[in-house]
Amino acid sequence: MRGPVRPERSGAPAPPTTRRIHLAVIVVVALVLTAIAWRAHGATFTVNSAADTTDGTCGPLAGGCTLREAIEAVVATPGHDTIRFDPAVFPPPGLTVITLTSPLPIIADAAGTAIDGGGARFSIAGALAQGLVFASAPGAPLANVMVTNFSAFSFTGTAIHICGGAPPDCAEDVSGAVVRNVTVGFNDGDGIRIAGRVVKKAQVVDSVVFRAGGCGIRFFADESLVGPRVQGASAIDSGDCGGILMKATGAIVGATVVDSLAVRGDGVGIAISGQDVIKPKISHVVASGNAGTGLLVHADRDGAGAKLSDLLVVGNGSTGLELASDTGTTAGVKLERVAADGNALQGIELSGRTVGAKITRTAVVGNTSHGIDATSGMTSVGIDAAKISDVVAAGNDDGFILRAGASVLQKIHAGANTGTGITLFEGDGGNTVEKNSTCANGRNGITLIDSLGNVVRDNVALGNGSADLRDDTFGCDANIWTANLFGFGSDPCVH
Amino acid sequence: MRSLAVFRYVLGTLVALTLTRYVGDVQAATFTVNSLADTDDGTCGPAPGGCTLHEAMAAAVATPGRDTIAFDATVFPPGSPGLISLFQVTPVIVDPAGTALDGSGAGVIIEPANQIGPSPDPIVFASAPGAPLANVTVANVTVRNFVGSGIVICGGEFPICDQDVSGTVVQNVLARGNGAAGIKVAGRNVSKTRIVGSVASHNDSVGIGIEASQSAKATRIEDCTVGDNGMAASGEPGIRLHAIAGVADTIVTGTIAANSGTQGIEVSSDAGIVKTKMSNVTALGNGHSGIAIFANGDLSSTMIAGATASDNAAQGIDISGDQLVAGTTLKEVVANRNGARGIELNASLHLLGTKITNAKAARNGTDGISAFSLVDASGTQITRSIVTTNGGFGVMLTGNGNTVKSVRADANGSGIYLGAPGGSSKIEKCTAHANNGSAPGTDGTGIKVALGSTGNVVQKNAAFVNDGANLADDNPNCDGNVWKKNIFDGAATACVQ
Repeated sequence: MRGPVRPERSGAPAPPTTRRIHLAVIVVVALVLTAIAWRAHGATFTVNSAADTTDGTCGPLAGGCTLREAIEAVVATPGHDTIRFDPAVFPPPGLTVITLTSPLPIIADAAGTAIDGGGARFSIAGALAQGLVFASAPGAPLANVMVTNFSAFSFTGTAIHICGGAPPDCAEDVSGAVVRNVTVGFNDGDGIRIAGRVVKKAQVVDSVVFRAGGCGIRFFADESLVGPRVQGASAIDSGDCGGILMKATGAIVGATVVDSLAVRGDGVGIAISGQDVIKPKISHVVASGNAGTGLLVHADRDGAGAKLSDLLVVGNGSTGLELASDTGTTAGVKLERVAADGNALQGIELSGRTVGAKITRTAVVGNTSHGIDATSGMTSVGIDAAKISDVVAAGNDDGFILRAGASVLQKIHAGANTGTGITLFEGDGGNTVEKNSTCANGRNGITLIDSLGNVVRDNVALGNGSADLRDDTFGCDANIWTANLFGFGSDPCVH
Repeated sequence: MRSLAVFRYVLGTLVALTLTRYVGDVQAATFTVNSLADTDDGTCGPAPGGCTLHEAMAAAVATPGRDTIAFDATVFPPGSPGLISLFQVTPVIVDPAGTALDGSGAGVIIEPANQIGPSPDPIVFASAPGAPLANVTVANVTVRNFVGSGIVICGGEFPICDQDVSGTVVQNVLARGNGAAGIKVAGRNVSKTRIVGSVASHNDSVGIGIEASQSAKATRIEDCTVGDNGMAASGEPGIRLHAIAGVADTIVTGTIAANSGTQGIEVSSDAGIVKTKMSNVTALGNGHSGIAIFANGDLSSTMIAGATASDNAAQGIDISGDQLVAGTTLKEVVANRNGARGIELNASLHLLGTKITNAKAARNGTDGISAFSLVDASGTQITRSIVTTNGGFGVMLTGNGNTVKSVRADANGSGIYLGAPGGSSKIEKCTAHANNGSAPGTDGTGIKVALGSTGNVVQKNAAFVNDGANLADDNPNCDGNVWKKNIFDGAATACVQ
């Protein structure tokens, strides 16, 4: 019995019928690919009118396509469509304003829409409840929204809102949203808001948010927030919601804020807050003159792997920089080159159980309360296995007050504080305090209060208002004081 | 042959005697203070109570060579220091070879017996008229509450101090609450002064003062804390290094200067200043500038790294010269909440080659960073810095060939300003948003080129929501300036792109 006939791999050509079948298959595949490509790229609609009218079509003739018409067209056209703006109608460098007389349609397209004002100069404005709203639909995630080179002013609600699902619930996922080179100002709600159930890889880049009544820039996930990024952003004069806010009911993973600033807001400057906050990275950031905390990284449960560097938190109405975990642990924090200056409460506060923090090359000066505080208020948790080195604390109440265990404090210069230079308070003890300078503080240089098993050595403590070195436990119980240079000790066991 | 032997004996004896004398001079003597009293019976003996500070000082003066005054730890236990209350005038420790007063291993406090005390300046080292003073060491003692200066090292005759001083070391000393300076080194040429691990606080005059009627060279101030000094009526700095004929090779590191009457740290000269390095320095809450380096002559090769200068009444960092200011480098400096400018570089004639990187200046009363000259300023580079919420300009420069790159100048009075005279400068990849013109002299412009500043390139910047123009060029038709690839909403003139 013979097997099925197969065309030869070489040699004689296939029969005509077979060739026709092959051709048909190729054509079908090509058509499918074309359709897929068309759907992927979508259509482009170019706004060529500054009016706010609609005749139901977005045409290419001059004045034939308003923004409203372009949005209507995008919504009616499946796929990842793009709205552009005719530079001839919106010529740079002047600013052409599209004054809206009624709310724009929601840009409801699960494939996402790109609005790109590149090459043109314009803004939208209107005393309306919303500016641009991107959404998908109930049950459908939203992907790949892009807003670039765009301005929006004077809305009573949020200027740019990217919403997974349907507003106001935004209960579906959002991924790949990009807001770049966008300016929003004088809006009563948020400046830029990206919200959904799971929000992945959303970015706000090189954008300015000015005088937002709500948050300047808000990322919100009802579940988790993955890889949110703010880069090159300015949030200025934001409302009490905060300048830059990344918030999730669940976890926040890989949040990044770089080269950005949040200043003069009525609330927190920058906040990253979720149930668990994993590996946030914040660098080259300024939080200045905010009414609340300058920079807050807050986990309801656990935090891990935060890297914060080259920060300036100055003149904020509360704490300069706070890392907090309410019920779990913050682990592996690295703070480097942080300047916390002139804040109304602590310069830096580590609140909740903190393990393995490294703080180096940092200055905490002129804060009304303590320079660095890791006592978690009146709770029993504190900071363990920390390494704090090359830090200057001056002009604060206490320079350092730590509920610490198994930590190392070295090469700290805590001087000219009104309180004590370094205080270890309760905690697990077993710390090493060495090679520090704690001079000219109003109270003590170094104080141990109910902290046991510590080694305090090779420090210089001179000219403090009370004892230079102080151990409040009887007979320095289990603490070793050795090779310190000081004037007055609280007890002969202090050496 | 016998005569030769006698000669060799005599020679050997002479050599031995000479060597003995030489060794005696080099090793000098150590006098250990073992009494808290302030009496003087003319001897400093080893028996308990046999040597007071007064007697040890007199013995050191009477003994040639670099003697040491030490302290008996049983009388002056560390941690519970022995207190010497002076009610006699102490002798000036006159010895050109220098003397060491060292409380190592002990705890020593020297203070007046009453509120006034007999010795305005209790610890004075000097040489003699016409003789330089070398190798004075003061270590591990506290000198407090005297009417005059706590510790004085004086080249020549005290208080004229007109001879050279070299090799002074002040280590782990506390000078507190004195009516004049805390620690003072004065002479004609003052070289190789090292003040380390010391504290000067609550002195009415300067906390640490180094004064040279000619030059000061190779001064090092390390790991010191200087607070609440200079509150006398005229106001004095926390640390002052001043030389009439020039200052060279200065290092200040790991030091805090807070709450002084005038500058926190001042390095100044009626002539030139060269090679000043400051690192990990904090100047906070002082009555004038935090860090001030100024020369009536040329000022060159200044490096400040890792410094914080905040909440000072005038500038945070002020570097200025009446002639040339050249080769200044500021790296990772922070200057916030100062009453005037955060960082100022100012040359009456020439300002050349300034580099500022990774600086942060916020909430200063006027400009964040300002670099200017009345004649010629060139080559100023400001990169990767943030200047925000300052009352005046975020960055203000005059001159030629300047570069402002990757600077965030948001929410100031004005953002970035290229003033005149000047030109051929570059501003790129900066932001200048939401500047509001709130302070006099500012107009809320994002980036502005002044009339007369030409040949500049302003590119790839972003400027939005400024109260004034986002981008502005005061020259007719942007005369010779290139504006390109900037992102902004609205400009003062069409030539701005």
